[in-house]
Amino acid sequence: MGRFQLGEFEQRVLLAILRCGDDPPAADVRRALERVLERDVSRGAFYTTLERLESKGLLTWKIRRLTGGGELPERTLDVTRDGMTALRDARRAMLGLWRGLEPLFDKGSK
Amino acid sequence: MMPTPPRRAQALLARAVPDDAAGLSIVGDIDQEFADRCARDGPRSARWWYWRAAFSVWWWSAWRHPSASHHHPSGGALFDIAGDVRHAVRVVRKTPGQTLLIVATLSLAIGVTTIGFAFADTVFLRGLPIADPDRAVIVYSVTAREPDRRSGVYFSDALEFAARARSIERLSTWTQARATLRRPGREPVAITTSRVTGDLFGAWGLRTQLGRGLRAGDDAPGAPRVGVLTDRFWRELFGASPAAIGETVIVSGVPHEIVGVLTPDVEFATFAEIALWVSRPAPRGGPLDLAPVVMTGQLAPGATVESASAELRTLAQTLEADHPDTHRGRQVLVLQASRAMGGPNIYLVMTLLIGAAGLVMVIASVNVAGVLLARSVSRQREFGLRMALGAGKTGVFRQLVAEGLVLASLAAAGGLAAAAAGLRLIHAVEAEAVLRQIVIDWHEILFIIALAAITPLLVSLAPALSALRLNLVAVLNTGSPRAGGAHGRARQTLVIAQLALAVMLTVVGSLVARTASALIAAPLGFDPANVVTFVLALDQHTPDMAARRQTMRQIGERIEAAGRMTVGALDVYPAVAVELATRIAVDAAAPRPEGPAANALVVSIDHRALETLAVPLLAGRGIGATDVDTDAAIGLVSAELARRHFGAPAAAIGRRLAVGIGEAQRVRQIVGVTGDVRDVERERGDQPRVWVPLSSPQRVAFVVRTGGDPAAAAAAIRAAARAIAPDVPVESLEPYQAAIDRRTGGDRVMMGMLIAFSAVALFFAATGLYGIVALSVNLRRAEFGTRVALGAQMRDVIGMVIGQAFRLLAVGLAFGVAGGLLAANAMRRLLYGVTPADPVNLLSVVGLLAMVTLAASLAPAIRAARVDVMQSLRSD
Repeated sequence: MGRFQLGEFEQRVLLAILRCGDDPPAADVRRALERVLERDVSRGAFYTTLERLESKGLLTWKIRRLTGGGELPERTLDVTRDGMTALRDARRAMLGLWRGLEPLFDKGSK
Repeated sequence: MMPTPPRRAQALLARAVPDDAAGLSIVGDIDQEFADRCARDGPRSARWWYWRAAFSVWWWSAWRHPSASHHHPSGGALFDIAGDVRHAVRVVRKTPGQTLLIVATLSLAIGVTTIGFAFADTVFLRGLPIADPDRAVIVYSVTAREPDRRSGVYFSDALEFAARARSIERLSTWTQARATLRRPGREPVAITTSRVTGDLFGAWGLRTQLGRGLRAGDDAPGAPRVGVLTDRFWRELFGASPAAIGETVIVSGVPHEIVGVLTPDVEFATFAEIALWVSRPAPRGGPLDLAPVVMTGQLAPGATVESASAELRTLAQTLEADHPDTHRGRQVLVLQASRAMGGPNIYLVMTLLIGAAGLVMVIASVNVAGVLLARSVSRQREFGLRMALGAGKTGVFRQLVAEGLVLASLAAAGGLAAAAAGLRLIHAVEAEAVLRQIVIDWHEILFIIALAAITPLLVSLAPALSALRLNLVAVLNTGSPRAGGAHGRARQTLVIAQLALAVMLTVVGSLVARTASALIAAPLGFDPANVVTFVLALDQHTPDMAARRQTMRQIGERIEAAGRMTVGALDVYPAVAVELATRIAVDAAAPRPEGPAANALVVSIDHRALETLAVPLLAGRGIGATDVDTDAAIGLVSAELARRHFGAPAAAIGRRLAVGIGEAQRVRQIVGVTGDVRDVERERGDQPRVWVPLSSPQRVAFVVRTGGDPAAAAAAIRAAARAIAPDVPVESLEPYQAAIDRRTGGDRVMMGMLIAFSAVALFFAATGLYGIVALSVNLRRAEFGTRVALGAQMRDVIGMVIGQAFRLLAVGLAFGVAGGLLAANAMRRLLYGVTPADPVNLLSVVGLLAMVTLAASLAPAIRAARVDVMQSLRSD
């Protein structure tokens, strides 16, 4: 068992950050998440999750002033080393559970 | 220019996000997408989206995951409230019994208050189906002697007013009348029509869903008669077919073309009965038409009710000068339509009802405050600890309010259910159409939400104040909750307040109950039991009066032939119909009646009517069949008329009486005196009455005294009507009592509600009293134990406890009786058979309260007397 417990949505958020390349803006990550999950992602849930991940030390963010002349800052996200570890642990646990069960699902119903 | 996000949504968002760069970046994200959406979907849709986004962020940060935000200080208030509420839910769940008691109390009170509000809402807020009820006015006729008694304006006068008045526009008249509706190839049906002159539809803003409404020109004497259907009858009689427009129907013999269908919102209160609004010719300058009509119009721009009243009064004076014999003492009363509903007493009745409902709510809140206060005694240590840990006084206060909020939310749901159940009960007891308009919709739901929002402050104030006075050090040191002096006094004050309010309501409720029983006990002067009514519009059957009389008699005989029944005929049902007073003048030999004009109710009857209704004949003879056939110039008078004008019943026989005014006046010889027949609203007192032969039957009101089987009577009635007058539909076939119940239904519901409200208040006061006595017994166990150990008798201890309860009652009674007398005096006009300060009534209230107090304190007193000495000393 790893040091970090990751919720399902937390896992998805971290993975979405990694998929979006280097230091993606939060808004892009949310949109990527919506695209992959094919559903609306509530802003409230998303930002709350970012805060929780940050307080657990699994991601960091940087504030960047928008170049377009907007007065409000933009936040770029990055997964920390602990975040990577947590994802790795989660993946290992998940794969362990899946191992040997593939035939049940690949062939459809028995 | 770039559209900006909604300001309030921005404020909500700003409160929800942390006050740092990360928070700002959230706002930045949302603003950015708002700009994108503005460009893509338009600003309207984008603003709506912005609201949803802001709410989502607020919801998540405040309620779902507040812990994630604890490290920043700014959004604090919101997050703490969420925490308070969650703590409150835990507290409430820890004490399920108490919670259930509190929620049940508040639910009942909220339900009661909501029903009171729903009544007022229907009468005042929803009001008439009038577009501009403040500008719409209704004109009544009143007399100098009875300025409160509104009656209709003479039709001729109304037309004069309409032509001359400048301060009221679109002056129109309307009367409700029963009529027979005939359509080719269909059974005739009896319907209620509203006959209209002038631009009533314009004055009230009535709208049609199909075709047109009645217009100003429709009342021109030569104009084709037209009718507008109400939605309900358009569906019932015409199957909602658009082809109804243009169809010609026969309304009481006169062809009318259907030109429109009204929207359903007109079907309000008594308007709900109307099937067809028809144009009525308005001939000016013809002979006086003294039939009363309701007159309505719209204040002209710049005119006020006062200026309109002044103008109409001047016009009325002119009319009085022109027609002194018919118009003497007649004045006009102009009322805003919004104030005209429900008669002159409606404000008083509604004030009472709402006042009573409000008092029930206050008593329940005080009751719950008492329970919470008692609980706060045992939670002193918890509060002390919280304060010591830095929660601060406001923190404890907020927590108590949050607990109140949780309780009130539960009670709001319960109250909604209670109000719905109460209204269902009322509708089940009284099927009156007006009552069915009283429903729970968003008005009532908003009202409940408002109540639930205020209640926590009410119920938490006392415990919170008491908690704030907490002596921190003492509580933490001893750790033992005691009934502190301040606590005890606060609880006693609450119980006294409850008792006083309950006494006040009981005084009012008992007066209402006395009025109700006096009304039931007061004799009507005839016996409606086992009497069935039905109406035949014989004017639709034949124009020949002799033939009508013949038909009327044949129908009676035919029904009686079915066995064990007597049948009488009248022109109107006494006691239940809205009877109109007619001017009478007594011959010169008799003493002058007091005042300039004497009035009497005039009823036309056949030779069997009095016998069928069991109206006693006190002197002389009744009306014979020959009197009816020959239209004899005779009449019977009621005992009240004989007393007023001739001194005694026997003295009236043989005297002469002029009945009616103007050309309709007829001098009649009095041949008999009957007992008094009273209106169901008996507070009007005995009204003089004249019975005359029913020689010109129009719509005949039959009465049938049955041997006991109303169903057999109904069959016989239908068979007789079908055989003898097949072209006239049988109307209003029902027991006489049903008509009486319908007239009194609203009053009975109001009375029942007031009585029920005071019973609920009394119950709350009793539980509150029980609570405080039981608590004080618990806290004084050691004292009682010691007393018993020192030799006090069981009797002494019981006396002490009960004495304490009665001391509270005495103070509560002092305030409550004073308040109750004030309220009773205000409702003087509604009382019947009892005076506001009736000593028997006050004594019974005191007696009732004494019994309640005894019942509430007896069980704790016995428990106090049975305290086990050793155990109580050991446990302390």
